[in-house]
Amino acid sequence: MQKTHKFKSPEEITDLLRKANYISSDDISMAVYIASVLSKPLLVEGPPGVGKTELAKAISQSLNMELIRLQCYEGIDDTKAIYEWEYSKQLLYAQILKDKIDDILQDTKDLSSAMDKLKKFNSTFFSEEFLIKRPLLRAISSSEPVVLLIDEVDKSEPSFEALLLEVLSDYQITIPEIGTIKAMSIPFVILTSNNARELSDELRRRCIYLYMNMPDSSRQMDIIKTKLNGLVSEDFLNTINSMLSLINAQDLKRPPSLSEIIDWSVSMASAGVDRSGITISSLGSLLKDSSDQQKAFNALWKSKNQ
Amino acid sequence: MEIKESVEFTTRVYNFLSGFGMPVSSVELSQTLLMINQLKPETYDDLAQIIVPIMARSKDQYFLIQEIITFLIETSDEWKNVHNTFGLIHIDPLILKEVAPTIARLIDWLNHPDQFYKHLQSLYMQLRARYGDRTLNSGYMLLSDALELDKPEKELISLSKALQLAGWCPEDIKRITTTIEDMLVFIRRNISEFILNASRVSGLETSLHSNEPKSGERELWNIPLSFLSKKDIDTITQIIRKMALRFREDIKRRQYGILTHGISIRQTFRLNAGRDMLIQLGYSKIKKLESPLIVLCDISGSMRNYARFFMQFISVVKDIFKKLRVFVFVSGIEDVSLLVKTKPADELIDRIFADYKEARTYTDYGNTLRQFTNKYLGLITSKTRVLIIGDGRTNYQYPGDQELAILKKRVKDIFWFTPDEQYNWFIGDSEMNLYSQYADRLFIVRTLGELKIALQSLLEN
Repeated sequence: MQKTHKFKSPEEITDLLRKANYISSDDISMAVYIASVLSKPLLVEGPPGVGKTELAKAISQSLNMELIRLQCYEGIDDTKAIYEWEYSKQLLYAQILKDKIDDILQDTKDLSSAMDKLKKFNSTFFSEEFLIKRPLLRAISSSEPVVLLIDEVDKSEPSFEALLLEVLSDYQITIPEIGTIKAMSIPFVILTSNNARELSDELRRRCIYLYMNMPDSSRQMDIIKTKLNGLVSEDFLNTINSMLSLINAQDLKRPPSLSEIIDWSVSMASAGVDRSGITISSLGSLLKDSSDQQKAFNALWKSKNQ
Repeated sequence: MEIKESVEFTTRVYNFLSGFGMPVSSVELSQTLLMINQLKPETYDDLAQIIVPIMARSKDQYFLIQEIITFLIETSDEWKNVHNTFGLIHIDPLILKEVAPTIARLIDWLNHPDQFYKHLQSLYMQLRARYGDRTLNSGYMLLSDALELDKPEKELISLSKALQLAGWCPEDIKRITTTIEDMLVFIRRNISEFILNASRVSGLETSLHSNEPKSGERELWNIPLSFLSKKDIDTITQIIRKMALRFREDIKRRQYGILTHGISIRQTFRLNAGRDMLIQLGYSKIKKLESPLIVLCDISGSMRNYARFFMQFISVVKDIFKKLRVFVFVSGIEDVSLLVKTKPADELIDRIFADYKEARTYTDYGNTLRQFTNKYLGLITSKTRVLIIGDGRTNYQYPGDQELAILKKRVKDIFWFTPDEQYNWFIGDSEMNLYSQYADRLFIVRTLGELKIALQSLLEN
């Protein structure tokens, strides 16, 4: 029997995530719940910085499961994602064992009996001892259920997706030299994508789909409040909120993402800066473009004088 | 809400989505039902939260399914009727008839698919009587012309203005315009399907609403590239991007040797030459395509779509060529190699169209080829491969065949992609017949499928 973790209800997920400092929404909790009940991977898409990776971390934290992360990039292949043979170690062993082979074969008379004798050691070199486990294999072969985060799948090449399919649908990996390794526990798989490349339909079919958008302002405030451990006053939150809506109303090249907004509010709170004391440099954690900073600063300055 | 009720509703959503050509598998349906049993949703909103993540597969679908569900709830009783009218029942019919007569007619037809089909059939027969076998090849364009499919896009603008005057809010207008655009795409697909079937079977016994699920992409492979809506252009651009990525990967893999994980025996021995055992592994480097490629691309009005798609393609695969030069021309030639090398694909094509100074002039092959041989002949070696993308319509000017003859002598081979059918090569100002003598490989590229085949043979060494 494969071990896996099942949630009781979507509400339980919301509570658990809140304990891990992650403010969920109904959509998110429901999608996570469905994925866990059906034991299917969860594919999360959305603009950068809305908390896709954060969700995986929060789930692993709240369930007390290990988080195994596979960061995808252009050119990633099975030797980086699943397993690799330790070639240099194999070669080294082969050199060392060369002398031993003479000892073993000392009392054999002809070639065929020597072959028989050698066959006994056949699987020595392709055994788990020489196998480097990469994230996918590690997640599958773990005895306790883990959270497997496959981050930014869209950065990998299409052929890599095909490699993932076996893992995602059957939770097993086939290594030609050893055989098929079936999962002892079913990992909770989360894939994230920024949609830089259209993912294949085969991959999508195997997943539960969740589109994560920028949160609405009430959830955003909730998130900021949690990140600041509730140490700030209601006034401060209101100021932050009004400043953000003013900044977002500008025509920005790169609108701030949620993670940047959090960073900024933390920096504002810890420096004790209020609206009148804001400078361009204090916008550094929010806006990463000089013309954007200038625009936002001008807007804030104007509104202050009114 | 009773479970039975929500199951019925879910099945309805499922049927609706399949009818829309959205791929939903029965596995997904059964999983949704399983979840409904487990969670017992009390309102339609709760139900939507279950249906959407299981059935959706992309961002667009995610929101579309959400919208469809809201829509189905709102129009619970008359949803069958609504399906046929694409949700356009809310528009005042008088406004529609007055401002957008073509759109009104198309909506009318969609309500009565059998009549539309008969109409198509009779139109097709008329065209066949007039043009003979040519109808099979350019039937799509002839039919679209006969149905005046170029009008709705203009009418759409005046319609949204009229709706604004009638007091509609902008979001509703936007929703209506997207539905009409969807409807136009739907009609175009149906026509191309009709033509395809007509050319396959002589009996013309096709049905407009076939029951098998349609994959939107598959049909796009057969639509002529010169006649596309903006939406189709975007989709095809995406397809081409994917296709190019695939090609690039294939070529890389062939050279990199994926079977050995890129380990090079020669490199390994060289690295370990000083030792008496092999400890360090050597990996092979990616080789690039040896023969230099020079592209001459016509970007005049009639060739725009082809230029757009080709640039999209070349911009993805550019790094597998050792030497690549790209030129665009209308009346004169311009070197855009630097743009191709530095700009991302989306920006590239707009930059090229914006930068080319004489874009509104007529195509002049003679002048183009003369300029090329005068200025850039030094680029050419006996290994060079030249690709010309153009319809060979010279506007009755000097065709430049002498220059082409010089080129042919010096290069490895000349490829030519033309969107014109062979019977058009003798008509009007087309010099394709003359050019075909100089081209080593000539491809008639009208559809995406044909473009793929042509590009494949270009990349093969």
